[in-house]
Amino acid sequence: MVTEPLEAIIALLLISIILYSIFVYNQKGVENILIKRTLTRSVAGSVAGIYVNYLNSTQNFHDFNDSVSDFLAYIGEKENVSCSAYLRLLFKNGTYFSYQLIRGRSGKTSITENITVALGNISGSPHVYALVNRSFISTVQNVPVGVYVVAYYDDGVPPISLTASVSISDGSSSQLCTLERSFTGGRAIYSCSTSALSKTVSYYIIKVYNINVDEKPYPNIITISIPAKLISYSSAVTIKDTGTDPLGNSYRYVDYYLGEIVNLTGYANWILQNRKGMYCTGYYGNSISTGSSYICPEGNLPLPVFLVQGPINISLNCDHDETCSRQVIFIEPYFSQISVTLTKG
Amino acid sequence: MENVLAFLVSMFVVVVFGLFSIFAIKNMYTSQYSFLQEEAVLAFRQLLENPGNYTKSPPTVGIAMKDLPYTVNLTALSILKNMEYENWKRGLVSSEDDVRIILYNGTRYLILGASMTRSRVAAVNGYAFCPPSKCLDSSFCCPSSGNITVKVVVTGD
Repeated sequence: MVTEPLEAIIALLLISIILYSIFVYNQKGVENILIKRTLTRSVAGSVAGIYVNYLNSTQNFHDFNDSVSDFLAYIGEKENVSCSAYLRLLFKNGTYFSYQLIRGRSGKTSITENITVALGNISGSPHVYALVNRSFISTVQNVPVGVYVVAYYDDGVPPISLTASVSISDGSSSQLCTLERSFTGGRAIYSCSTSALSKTVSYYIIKVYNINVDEKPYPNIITISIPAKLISYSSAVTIKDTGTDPLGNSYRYVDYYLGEIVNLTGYANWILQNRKGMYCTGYYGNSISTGSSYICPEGNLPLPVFLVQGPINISLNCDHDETCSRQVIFIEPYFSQISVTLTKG
Repeated sequence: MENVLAFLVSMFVVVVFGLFSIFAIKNMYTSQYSFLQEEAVLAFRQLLENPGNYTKSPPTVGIAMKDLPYTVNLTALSILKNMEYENWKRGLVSSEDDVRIILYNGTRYLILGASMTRSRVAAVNGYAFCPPSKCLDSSFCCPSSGNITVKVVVTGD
């Protein structure tokens, strides 16, 4: 085919314009994605900030979820996008538990960004509390009662050292408790005997004082009032806190990584309480799987989400005083991931 | 007559598209927009993903908490606010360009950096978490929700 030179020139020009237009369109698209990714990342980072604030405060999970909803609704309105957010808890074995915070609608284009939060590195002020391992003190048995003294920082991480003095009193005279066992990371259980105290009182007073956390004095004195009852203790189910490692060495542990199983010495109804004061109940089992998708009846919260890092109080068979036992375990710091997806179209 | 008309129409098309191409290609080589946009994105991310090191010269500019990107560290923000603009600018953008950081808590703005706007401007908007109810000073406090808007504007020629 013979082409006029002018037509050929026009054709070349048109082709070059089309190519240039494609180039410009593509470049604008790349810039747009860069900005949208930055926006999504900043939204994910902000949600991570809300999450850390929830963990380090007295805010409950539902208020946290509402805060995330409000924030993402605002973003959705302002940026004209649909937002969804997930909280992922990463277990030691590499698996994870995913919890949907907000569900957005699907669309033509979406960008997802993840922010990983390492909560173990956030310093803060220490907290100390005490927990008696029984719900009453028997006045018919001379069995010492155990008192856990537990310290942790704002982020749930235990201190390196903890020392304290513990005493038990009947109101007129008191007796010092002895250190029974000191756990790694500044937690201890004291044994308090009432052998030298009156047996005709309604309450005994346990006092924890001279508290030092990481060699710094903790100013408060902790006082617990525990009922005295004319009944005997029944044998109690406890957590199996002794074991043997692959080399045959015996060890005792109360620290668990999220995803591990807390084995019990027998079958029990259990109640867990996290450091935010939230409860989770479970019925008649001989273990508690911290990585399972078990939904806590109170709050409708999956167990791994409920188990915020830090001390967890475990009450076993506490539907009757005689059988009730209480213990403290620690959930080790873990990584969380906040995943946010912004969808358009 | 038909040939003349066809020639004129062809010439018109050639001239219009030719001029378009020349300007487009010229613009492609001289435009700073793309560079400024990338610079603004990098500045935004560095500001909010980095805890900063203000003992260096030029300092590494960042206002994030350690290990917590996009959570504002008010101590670092205070250092940045009290520093001379010329001393921290190089830690965020190239020496030829200027930068402005705008934080908005829902009621008040905190503006740091250059107030001038030059011939080309690129901006990045985003969000950050500010510890609720904590204050930088009497003029700027974090909102009770903790969410603030952050804008980084980079301007150059």
